[in-house]
Amino acid sequence: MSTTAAEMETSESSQAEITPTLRVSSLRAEFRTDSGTAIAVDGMSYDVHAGETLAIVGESGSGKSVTSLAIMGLIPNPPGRVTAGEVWFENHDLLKLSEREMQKIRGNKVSMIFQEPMTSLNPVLSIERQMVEGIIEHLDLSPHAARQHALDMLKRVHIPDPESRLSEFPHQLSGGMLQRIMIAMALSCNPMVLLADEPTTALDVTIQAQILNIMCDLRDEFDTAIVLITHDMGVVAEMADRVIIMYAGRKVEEGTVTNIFQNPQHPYTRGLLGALPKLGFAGPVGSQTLNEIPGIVPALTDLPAGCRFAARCSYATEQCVAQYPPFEEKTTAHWAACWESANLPEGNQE
Amino acid sequence: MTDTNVQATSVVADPEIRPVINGGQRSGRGRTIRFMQAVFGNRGAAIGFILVLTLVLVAIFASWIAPFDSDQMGAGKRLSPPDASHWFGTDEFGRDMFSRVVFGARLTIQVGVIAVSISLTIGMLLGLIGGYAGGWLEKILMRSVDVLFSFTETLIALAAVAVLGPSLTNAMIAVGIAAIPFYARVAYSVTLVERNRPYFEAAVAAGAGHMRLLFRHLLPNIIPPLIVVATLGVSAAVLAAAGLSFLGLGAQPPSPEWGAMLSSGRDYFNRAPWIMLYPGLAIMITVLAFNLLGDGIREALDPRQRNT
Amino acid sequence: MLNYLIRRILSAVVTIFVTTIAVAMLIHLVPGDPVQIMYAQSQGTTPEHLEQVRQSLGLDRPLVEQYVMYMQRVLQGDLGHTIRGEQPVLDLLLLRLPNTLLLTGTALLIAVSIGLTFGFIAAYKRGSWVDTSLMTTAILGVSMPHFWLGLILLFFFAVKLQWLPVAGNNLENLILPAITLGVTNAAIIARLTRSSMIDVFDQDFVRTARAKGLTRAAVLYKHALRAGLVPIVTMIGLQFTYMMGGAIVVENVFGWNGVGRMAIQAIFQRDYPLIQGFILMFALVVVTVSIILDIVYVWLDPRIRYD
Repeated sequence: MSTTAAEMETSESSQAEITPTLRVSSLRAEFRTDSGTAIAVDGMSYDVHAGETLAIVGESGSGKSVTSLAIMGLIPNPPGRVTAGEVWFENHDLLKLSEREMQKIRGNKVSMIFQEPMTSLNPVLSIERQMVEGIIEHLDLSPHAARQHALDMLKRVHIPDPESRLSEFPHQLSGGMLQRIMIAMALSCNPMVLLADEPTTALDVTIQAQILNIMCDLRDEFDTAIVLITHDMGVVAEMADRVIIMYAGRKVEEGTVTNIFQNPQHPYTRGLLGALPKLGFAGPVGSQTLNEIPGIVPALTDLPAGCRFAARCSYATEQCVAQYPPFEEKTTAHWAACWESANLPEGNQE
Repeated sequence: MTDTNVQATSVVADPEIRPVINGGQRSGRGRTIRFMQAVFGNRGAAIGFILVLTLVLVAIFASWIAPFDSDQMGAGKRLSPPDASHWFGTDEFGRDMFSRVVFGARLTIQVGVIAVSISLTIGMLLGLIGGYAGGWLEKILMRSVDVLFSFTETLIALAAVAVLGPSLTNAMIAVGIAAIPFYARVAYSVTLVERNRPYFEAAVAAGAGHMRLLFRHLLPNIIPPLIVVATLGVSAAVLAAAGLSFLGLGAQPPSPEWGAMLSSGRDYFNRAPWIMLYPGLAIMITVLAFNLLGDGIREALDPRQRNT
Repeated sequence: MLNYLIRRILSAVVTIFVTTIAVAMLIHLVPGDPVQIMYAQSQGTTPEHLEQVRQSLGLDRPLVEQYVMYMQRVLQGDLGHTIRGEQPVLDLLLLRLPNTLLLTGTALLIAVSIGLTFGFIAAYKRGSWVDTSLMTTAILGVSMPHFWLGLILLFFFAVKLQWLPVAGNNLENLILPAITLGVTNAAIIARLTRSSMIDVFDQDFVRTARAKGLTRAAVLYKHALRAGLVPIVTMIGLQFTYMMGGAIVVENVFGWNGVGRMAIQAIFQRDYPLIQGFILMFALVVVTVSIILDIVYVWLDPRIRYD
């Protein structure tokens, strides 16, 4: 089944005129658990271009974070392992690089920021040490120049009084401040790709908007490709150019943000949009959860043969239960994996 | 802390995987079964359990298993090395070492059970009262417990023996007293948790009296975790009591207590090393058995693995 | 930070205070007449002599007064005199304490270097055969009685191979007791290091450090080990006290002339002033070590330094 999605992806991107900054194809990642092998990511493919924001949306366990960790070569092994697929970046398959070669790419050309700024910085080291070490590693600057560079980066993410922040420790700063530092750190070597794993989920609503704005500005300034992982459709509306919806390890829908919001082809996407109070591209960034879709994600150790969303879907037919739907182009540059997309009622919500 | 458990822990810690594992809620009985599976699925715990069981059986059937009486002098030639009739050799009085080690198992089980019962009972009461009472009583009680805890069990046991005088019974009591602070601390922390649970608040709201709250509501709930801790406590108690006997402050000759046997055998150990080999091995295996079992139970109960 | 240190020092003072009460009252816990028990082994003591001792120890006064008297003496550095030989307890203790500290310190060095290294390796290689074999060795080490390991080492190295002397108080006599005490505690430190390092390895900030593209060594030592040091140092502090207790036994196996060996003799002889002095000294060492540790924490953990 996963080949279907991959083939579709390949045919789509071969038509693209410019080469993408990062291309993920047919990625598969597995985790050993007590109850068997969990397939966390199953045939994931995407392209992301310079200056573009691609949003990957899904619930916990949909495989969206594991995909990014796989790109970075950071899946904890054991128990996790990438079992298939390729990650193309600057004419190299990152999955085939040695640990030493990956170290030159991580934090330098491909950076990542994480969900929990409060725990993502080392509590016993000063901000300066944590910022400077990556800069020295990759940019080969003297300690003094690296410190200057760190100061510049802190100014770019609008941190007041950056001099004194440098000498402080993580526990002395707020979550929003720490996430800005994380962003400053991730962007300090001017990466081509920024993987942002739920960067605003742990923050207050007011802080969320500021952080997103900072990311947008820096993307435009440095022409960075951003892969934004989130479960919040409000954040997607604010930030993204294109959207991928993931469910239980697979892509279920992909398209431009307009397509996805105005004409969703998968009932799951409609469910996600239904969880938003009000549709609006410039609407307030909320912290909507997806709990309003009844039922739970199937166990990744024991996936059904048919559509993985079928058990929670009000449009499911016998075919949905028996056979996995192909990931196909429903309208121009808009793909979905659903047997029933033609039969969905008008509108964009459940 | 075996390999399999560590992997399970890190999987659970991964937010992407956690909800999947949490799929089904389980019943109380199902939990007990899973707990037993977790204990016996752990190789170390299973070995520990078998060793403990063997030790208990040896202690019970000592007079059937041992070919000689533990005190029978001249059961063989003096200081003769292990052979077919004396598996562990003989000691300086020609006593059969195998029989002595077998009878020694009785004393060891006794020491373990009595010492742990003393520390468990008193420690539990102190911790329970400290955790329930709050205020100045809690402060004084737990502060004193902390002070005693910082002195290590060896020192407290020595002080207790110094007061009571050397004998096996006194050594058991001393070892029991020495571990009280440890159990009191565990009982105290468990009590603090239980106090904040809804059932307890409901009982308070219903106007239950102190005695009822302490012994009908809190006590039954703090016993299970303390029993787990006590399994590990047995190994510490056996080790400490054997140490006291080795120093001459516990069991006195001609008692076949393992530590005492090592103590009297050390004068002969260059001529007859088997005298110090077998009793020491017996102590080590016993301590190892309870350590393995205790580790296994603790891992099975580890909250990070129960996926709550 | 200052608050923290003041709080810790106050708590140390409380510990010493509680200990002095316990030590002063120790003699009253003895079943029967302590003075008679003390002199039971001595020949030719008259009832008058016993009465005189009772008065000199203040045992005929009310408890509170006894405590005040005891404290007055202790604060002046007078821990009383031994029953046998009438020697000043403080002098005897001070003469032997360096030996015990030397033994415990050397053993701690052995235990920390072996335990930290192997615990760290086991955590890093968790789940592998390296981890399994290290941890199997560790649980055997934890279960090994000090005195038995001591006897075995004596048998091999002193009796069979004759590389080292059986007993004595030279530096070469330090080797076996220090190894005995160090190795068993190395096992404990290895187990604890492994579990706290595993906790650290699972922390988000270690992933961040890797995501920055740092080398493996930088991630392991500059980030993981540095952060794991706080719980590990706590543990090593507890180990020192624990090893002081173990030293009592080990000194007796090897005839090492420290306070532990003297304390056991004092218990046999029912020499209560000496026993009391020993316990008080032990408490002081424990408290001193814990204050040193508190200062080390301040240095290690910025969360304490700046709060």
